[in-house]
Formats: sequence, C-alpha cells, structure tokens
Amino acid sequence: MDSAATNAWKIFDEVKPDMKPKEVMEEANRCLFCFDAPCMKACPTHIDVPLFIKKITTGNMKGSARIIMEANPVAATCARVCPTEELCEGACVLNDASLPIMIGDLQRHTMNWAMKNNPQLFEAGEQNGKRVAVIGAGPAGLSSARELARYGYQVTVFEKQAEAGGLDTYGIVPFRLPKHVALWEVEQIKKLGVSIQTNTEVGKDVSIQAVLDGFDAVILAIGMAHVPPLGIPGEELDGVFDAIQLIERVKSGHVTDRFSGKKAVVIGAGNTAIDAATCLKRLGAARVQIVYRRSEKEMTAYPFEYRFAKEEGIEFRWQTQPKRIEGDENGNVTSVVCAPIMLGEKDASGRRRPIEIDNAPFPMNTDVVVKAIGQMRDVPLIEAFDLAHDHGVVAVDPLTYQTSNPKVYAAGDVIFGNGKGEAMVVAAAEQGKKTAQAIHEQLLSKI
Amino acid sequence: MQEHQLYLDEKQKIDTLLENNFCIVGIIENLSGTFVAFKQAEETGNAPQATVQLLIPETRKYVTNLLFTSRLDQSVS
Amino acid sequence: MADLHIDFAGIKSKNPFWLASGPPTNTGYQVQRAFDAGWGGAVWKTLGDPVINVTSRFSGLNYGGQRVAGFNNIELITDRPLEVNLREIRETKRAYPDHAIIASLMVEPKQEKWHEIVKRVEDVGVDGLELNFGCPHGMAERGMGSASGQVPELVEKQTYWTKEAAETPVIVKLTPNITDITATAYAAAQGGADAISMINTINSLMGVDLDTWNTIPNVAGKGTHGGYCGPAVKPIALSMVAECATQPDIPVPISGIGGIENWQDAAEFMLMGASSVQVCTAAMHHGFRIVEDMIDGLNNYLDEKGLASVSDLVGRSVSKYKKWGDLDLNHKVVARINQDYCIHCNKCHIACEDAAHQCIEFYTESDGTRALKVREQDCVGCNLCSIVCPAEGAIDMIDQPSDVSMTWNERQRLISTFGG
Ligand SMILES: Cc1cc2nc3c(=O)[nH]c(=O)nc-3n(C[C@H](O)[C@H](O)[C@H](O)COP(=O)(O)OP(=O)(O)OC[C@H]3O[C@@H](n4cnc5c(N)ncnc54)[C@H](O)[C@@H]3O)c2cc1C
Ligand SMILES: Cc1cc2nc3c(=O)[nH]c(=O)nc-3n(C[C@H](O)[C@H](O)[C@H](O)COP(=O)(O)O)c2cc1C
Ligand code: SF4
Repeated sequence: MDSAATNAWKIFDEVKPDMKPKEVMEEANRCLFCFDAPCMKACPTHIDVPLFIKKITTGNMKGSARIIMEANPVAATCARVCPTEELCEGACVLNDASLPIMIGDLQRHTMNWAMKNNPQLFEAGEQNGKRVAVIGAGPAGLSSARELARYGYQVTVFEKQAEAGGLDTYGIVPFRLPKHVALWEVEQIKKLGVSIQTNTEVGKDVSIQAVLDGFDAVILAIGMAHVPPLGIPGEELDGVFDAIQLIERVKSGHVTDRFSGKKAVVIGAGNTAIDAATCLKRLGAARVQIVYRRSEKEMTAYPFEYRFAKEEGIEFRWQTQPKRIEGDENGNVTSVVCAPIMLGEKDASGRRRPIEIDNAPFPMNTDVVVKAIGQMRDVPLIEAFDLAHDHGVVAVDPLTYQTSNPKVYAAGDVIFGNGKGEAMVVAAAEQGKKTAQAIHEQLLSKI
Repeated sequence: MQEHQLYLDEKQKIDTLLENNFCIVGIIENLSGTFVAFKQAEETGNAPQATVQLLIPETRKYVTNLLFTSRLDQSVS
Repeated sequence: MADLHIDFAGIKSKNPFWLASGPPTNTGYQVQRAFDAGWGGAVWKTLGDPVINVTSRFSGLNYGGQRVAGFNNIELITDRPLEVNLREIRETKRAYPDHAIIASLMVEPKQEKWHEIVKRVEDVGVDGLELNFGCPHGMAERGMGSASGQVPELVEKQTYWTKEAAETPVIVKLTPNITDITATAYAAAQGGADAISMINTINSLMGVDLDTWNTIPNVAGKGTHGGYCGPAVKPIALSMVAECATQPDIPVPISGIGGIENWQDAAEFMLMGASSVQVCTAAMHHGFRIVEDMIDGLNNYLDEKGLASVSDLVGRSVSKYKKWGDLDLNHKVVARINQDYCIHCNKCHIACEDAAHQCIEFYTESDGTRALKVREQDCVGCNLCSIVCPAEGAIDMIDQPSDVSMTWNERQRLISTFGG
C-alpha cells in the first residue's frame, strides 16, 4: 500500500483505543464480583462477567478469554458493537451506588489480548458422524458452527461473500469494528475444523436440494438483505446509494474521493443510517444530514451511536419526510424535496404515527442521497426452501429454532421480526448457540 | 441449616424437666458438648434422675444463664 | 482549636506527629523539610557504625490495584559517619529549637559502646534517645537490632547501660518479632526506660517473581527476609500497643508506630494508649505534606469531641481492651438488610451461605423483584455480611437486648461449682 492509501485508511482506524494498563486494573478491581450477577443475566449470551473480570485482576488473560468466548463465539465483535448501556452495564449493581463497571471495555481488553496472543481456547469434539450445513457466515451462523464443532459435528458453512463474518465483516463501519476483528473470530472457528465455503451462494452455486439431502440438519442464517427502495421519484438518479452497499464497499477497501466536499442526506435513523452518515463524514463529505420522519424519541439507533454521530458532526433533521429526489440535466442528484411531519396518536408499534403536513414541501440541496430505511428479506430463497414465514421473517419454534421443515433451523436476523427484541450481533450469536444445542439434543438420540 | 430449631428443641427438654420439679445438680463439658445432670426434688432418698446432652451453643449458654441468674437472685435476696 | 502539644516522657513537641527513624529522617535536609511541613518531631535514622547497603532494598505489596498496602525493606541503619549526622542534627536543632529531635541508636550489646554513643549524640543537643532493638534483618545477624530485642535480659541490660550515661529521656523501640511483646516491654521498664515505642518492622518476604523465580526484592538474583510495615501492619501494631497499655507493670508512655497514615489511625493509637505517634511508610509513599491533614483532621476531631487537648484523648479506650474470657457471652447482635440501600450484589448471601451460618435468604417482593432477608434467629452476629457488603448503610448490625451479662470466665467458675 502506498502512503497516500495508508493515510486514506487511517480515517477508518478503530476510534476507540484499548484501555491503558492502569485503567484496566483499576476498573477490573472495582468489580464487586457479585454472586448471581445481574450483568451476566443481562448479557444475551450470559457471559460470566464477574469471573472474566476477576481473571483480569489475577493476570490470567487466557482464562479470561476462555470464559468470554465460551459463552460468546463473537465476543471481540460484541465488545465493540453491543449496546452495553442497555445490556450488561445497564444491569450493573453499581449503577445505584457509583458508576457501572465498563464491562464492554474490559471485554474488549481481554479480546485484544486474545487476538494478539492467539491462544487455543477450544477443541473440536470427538467426531460423531453427523453433518450439519450452515447457510450464512454471519454471527448467527458462525456461533452455531462453533458450538456444533465442539459437539463433534462435521460442519460446512456456505457463504456467498468472498469473506466470512456477515455484517461484522461487511456491514458495521470499520472505525467501530475493524474487519480484522471479525475475521479473527472466523479463524477461531476454522481452527475447530469447520469448513467455510466462501463465494458459494446457496440457491445458485449450490442447490437447495443438495443442501437438504447432503446433511443431517440445515441452519438458515442468511440475515437480511439490502435496503428496500424508498418508493419515491428520482431514486434512479446518480448519487443515490444503498447504505449497506456503501459501507460494504468501504469495508472492502474501496476508499473513494467522490464524496469529498459534497453535501449528503441520509434517510433513516437506525444503526445503518448512523454508520452510513459517519462513514460519509470520514470520506470527506462537507455536510451530512440525517433525515427521519419521526422524532428523536422514536429513532432506533442506540444512545451511544447517536452520541457518536453528534460528536462526528452529523446533523439531524427530525420529522422530515422525503417526497422526491431531484436531479440536473445530467442525471445527478441536486436536492431532496421533503415534507414536514406532525406526530399523531401511537400506532401498533407503540410509536406516534407520522402525519404529513400538506402543502409545505421544502427542498434540501444535496449531492448525495443515502437510503438507510432498514433491510429487505430474501423472500425468494426462504420460499424456495418452502419455509413458513411472515413477510420474510422465518417462523421458528422459540425453543428449538426449528422452522416449518423440521430438518431446517433458522437463527439471527433472518428470524428477527418487528417488536421481537433487537437485531443485534449478540442476539444472533446467542440464537446460533441455542440452535446448535437444539440440534444436538435432537440428533443425539439418533447417534 | 436451621440451628435455631435445634436450640428450641433442646431448650424444651430443659424447661420440661425444670417444670417437673427437676433441678440441675451437675454440669460436665467435654468434646461431645455439655452434659447436664438433673434430679427431681423429693423428700425421699430415691429421687428420679435424668441427664441431658446439649449440642447447640445457644442451649449450652442458656443452661448456664439459668443458673447464673438464679445465683444472682440469691445473692441479692 | 484544641491544644496538640505533647510532653512525651519529658520530650516536648508541638504536635504528636513524629517521623519514625528511617529513610525520611536520613539527613538534615530532609528533617528540616519535614519540620517546615509541620511534623512535630523526628527520630533520626538510626546511628551506629556506618553500614553498606545493598541494591535494591524495598518492595511494595499491592492490593486490589492499590499500591503499598504493605511495604518491605532490607535496608540497614545509617550508612553515613557519625560526625556527619551529628553535624546535621546540631544544625537542625539550632534552626528548629521547638521541634523534637530524637536520636535513634544501635550499637553492639556492650556497655562502653552505649556509653560512648550516648555521650556523643547528647553533646549536639538531641531531645531524647531511642534504642533500636528492632530491625529484623541484617543488623540482627550481627547480634544487634531484633537479635538483642528478642531477649528480655539483653533489652533490660542495654537500657540500663544507656540510662547510666543518658541525661535525656530514653525510649526503647521494641521489635514485634516476638511472641509476647509485654515481656520485652517489661524488661525495658525494668532497665529504667523512660518510654517505649512500637513497633519496628515485622519479619517478611514480600514475594517471589513468577517469571524469574527471584525473591522480591532481589539483589543480583538473591534475597533475604526483610522488615514489613505500612497500612497492613497497623492492626498488629495496635494490638501490641494495647497489650502494653493494659499492663500495670509497664508504667511508661508509649509512642505508637506501625501503619499510621492519617489522623484517624493516629487517633486510634492514642485512644489505645499511645501519647505520640511515629510515621515512616506513609511519608515515603506520599511525602511530608501528609502531616497537614493529620494536624488539621485531629484538631477538628478533638473539637468535635469537645476535648481541649490531645492528651485528653490518650488511653480512653484502654479500659475497653480485655481478655477474651471477660467478654459478655450474652451480648447479641443480628444483621439486618436495609432494602433502601441494598444494591443487590448478593455478596452477603454467598458469604453467609458459604462461610457463616446460612441465614441470608432470597425472597420475592410484592412487585416481583428478588431481595434478601436475614433469618435473624439463626444469625450469630458474626459481622461477615456487613464486612463484605459494598453498599454503605445496606447492612446494619442491630443490638438485641439481653438482661444479664455473663462472661466465659464467670460461666466456667459457675460450672466448676457444679463439680462436673
Ligand atoms: C450498518 C449496520 C450497523 C449495525 N450496528 C450494529 C451494532 O452496533 N450493534 C449490534 O449489535 N448490531 C448491529 N447491527 C446488526 C447486526 O449486524 C446484525 O444483527 C447481525 O449481523 C445479524 O447476524 P446474522 O448472522 O443473522 O446475519 P448477517 O450478519 O447478515 O450474516 C448473514 C450472512 O449470510 C450470507 N448469505 C445470505 N444469503 C446467502 C446465501 N443464499 N448463501 C450463502 N450465504 C448467504 C450473507 O452474505 C451474510 O454473510 C448493525 C447492522 C448494520 C447493517
Ligand atoms: C526503609 C525503612 C528503613 C527503616 N530503617 C529504620 C531504622 O534505621 N531504624 C529504626 O528504628 N526503624 C527503621 N525502620 C522502621 C520504621 O521506623 C517503623 O518502625 C516501621 O516502618 C513501622 O512504621 P510505618 O508502618 O509507619 O512505616 C525503617 C523502615 C523502613 C521502611
Ligand atoms: S452476621 Fe454472620 S451469621 Fe449473621 S447474617 Fe451476617 S454473615 Fe450470616
């Protein structure tokens, strides 16, 4: 890499430095080592938080890493992207007495140690002769694969992208989650003998029937797909982007200067919108505004993300509904015309219903429009598997993660439906783990 | 473990004996706890006797407290 | 403002805070800085035949991420010729006439040696002498320090020799490396000591380096036992002061030393019978300026307690220090959890469950939350739960009324009359 390119990459370096050694010791020693600790219950993967922190204080970093990864195969990622204020740290008993322990940062510290020292933490189980196919190498798929390998299954993961890791590798901005972190986690799983076949899309490169026939069980962990169309005029203009594709390109190393000095409008106010907006800022955009039709209260981004976006200089335009995108004679975006919104009564989702104020549209001049209004579902694939679903959300048994086809299980974003928890890496990891357990329990009787 | 219940059981034994006109005539303490010897207060020589083994510290304290306070009462009166 | 002046066995000082003999009192430069900072007195680094020290010499015990919970050293007495020290003592005393300078002394257990050094240091105007019978390492191998401080006859004899020559008050500094410190304290009193001071450092090996397997500290890969001091030794020192203060046949003032870091520690030693206190490790850890809050804090405390003089504090807790057999068996306290302050760490539960009497139980409150309650009839009042509780005010130990007091000794006397 030449030096210009290196410099270009610097802006995408991880924002948060590792804790300093003294900070680690002070913080770790502050942990009360609660019995039956609430942080452990609040973590979706139930990491034994007091124990991994205690091990930091005794210098037993390998043990600390083992405790963490035992519960969570993608813990290095989670330590960076989990909304800890709402999970472990939110449950810390010290919230009432002083300040909560910085659990996420301590976990990141241990995981940084593990990434640097690469200890062998787990072993594959004795082969039991059963084969499981996992479709999708995101956190849900990887987590299930690791657990199955430890139980002794022969696991094959099919991944359509060139690299494994799912959104951890391609979707979450590098300055929050560097790609190498997700790839290290993938490596750990490979070490257990899991075969990960990248550039292999199920339904295209491998037939569905072959997967159903060739394995004793199948886990569908395909996550969600790209951003849906806005459904407004002008979407085809040059300068309109899909947030997920934009981030994916940046994470794949395509640093472009086409946004340099430009004005950008990001539509939506969830994780993806924030990541896209901060990404644009780092790519040199002069002004980035997030446009959201509801208010600050209703946005789905986490408080820490919102804070980070504001620190990065992102502007927020609440209660604003894009109506159409306008362009010049060359087909380049010039503005988004928006309508102001009033908020009415609460709707089914518990959020106040946006009501458009008529006859008051106003243009926002911009060169770039980024769509970040959620993700679509791969309905064709789900239907090709002949699975029951609701608008692309695959239906599963809440305990066994079994779909309408008893041989097929599903975990992660692919079963995430509105109002059912949050689409989070940590939730996907836990579901993957649980799915593996369920498969093991059901296939065990047949071994 | 509900040691309090065991204390109440042992205490009951002592109280019952005392209510039935027994009085404490000897105390031995050894590795097995406290042994309290009782004798019924009777005019005739062949008075009934009883020995109670106390295991619970609270009762071992209780029995000496009974004697201690009665000593105190006597010395006052 | 209370009066902090003390008269310790005839040594006058404007406050009870003295620097103990050690690195902070090595030179005139340091002692003068200490006096400027507010220290009332200083016990000069022990004088005797100049030694040669080894490197390194100190090590610290860290606990829970905090530095210097304890401190250990293998340093010996002064390594400077007597004349140099005496010149600096004379200069310092001249510049600070209102501050107490006590010369710490250590020589071979021979009468003429003691006579000689006593005369020479008294010549330069010290306010008192402290005989160092304490250092547990190095000097002890040469028959001095704790080697003579552990033998009551040697303590008595050397005190006596010193008193033969001394015109200023003689303090005997005792070693804690002995089963019963009252034996040597008594010997010092018999030898004519005007006062005693305690403790010197405790025999210790700070640690072993897990990478090199060397001792900590190490001298070219080898190590030896050293002297332990600092906050960790305070309870040991305090009990030794209490043991001596409660002995009627040790009728001399006590200077309390060992782990004193602040006015609170100092006040505790004084309540237990010390009429002056000495500090070494805390000054090494934080510098001389710690004395400012020692003075200020003690002053405010005395005002708050309505005491006009620091001497009114001395010994007020001595009568409360008893033999175990004189404690009331009927006294009862039980733990009670204060739900308003409980933060639900459940540490009390697991402590009582695993290490006490299994009487802190979970229950579900009306709103469905889980909470803890003490089954009071099974609580033995051991304090463990309140010790491990991190939330101030969440566990109170509640006094249970009892009618009569009965001590173990009283009980055993009673049982013996029942002739077993
Ligand atoms: C921009 C952005 C920011 C986010 N920020 C956070 C955050 O801060 N914290 C947090 O907890 N969560 C965050 N999330 C959500 C989180 O990334 C997801 O919940 C999580 O990645 C879901 O994991 P998964 O394994 O179910 O799916 P994915 O990570 O989406 O993985 C699915 C994988 O399946 C592959 N696949 C799909 N179809 C096929 C096929 N037919 N054949 C083979 N392979 C296929 C895909 O290529 C992909 O690799 C964010 C998401 C986005 C988009
Ligand atoms: C490095 C060091 C050197 C010491 N040297 C002497 C000494 O020369 N003479 C002496 O009587 N005590 C010496 N001591 C002991 C102290 O005076 C004091 O008795 C002991 O450290 C306990 O007090 P503290 O806990 O405040 O340090 C020394 C202590 C230390 C740490
Ligand atoms: S005082 Fe001791 S016995 Fe009583 S509740 Fe606390 S820990 Fe248990």
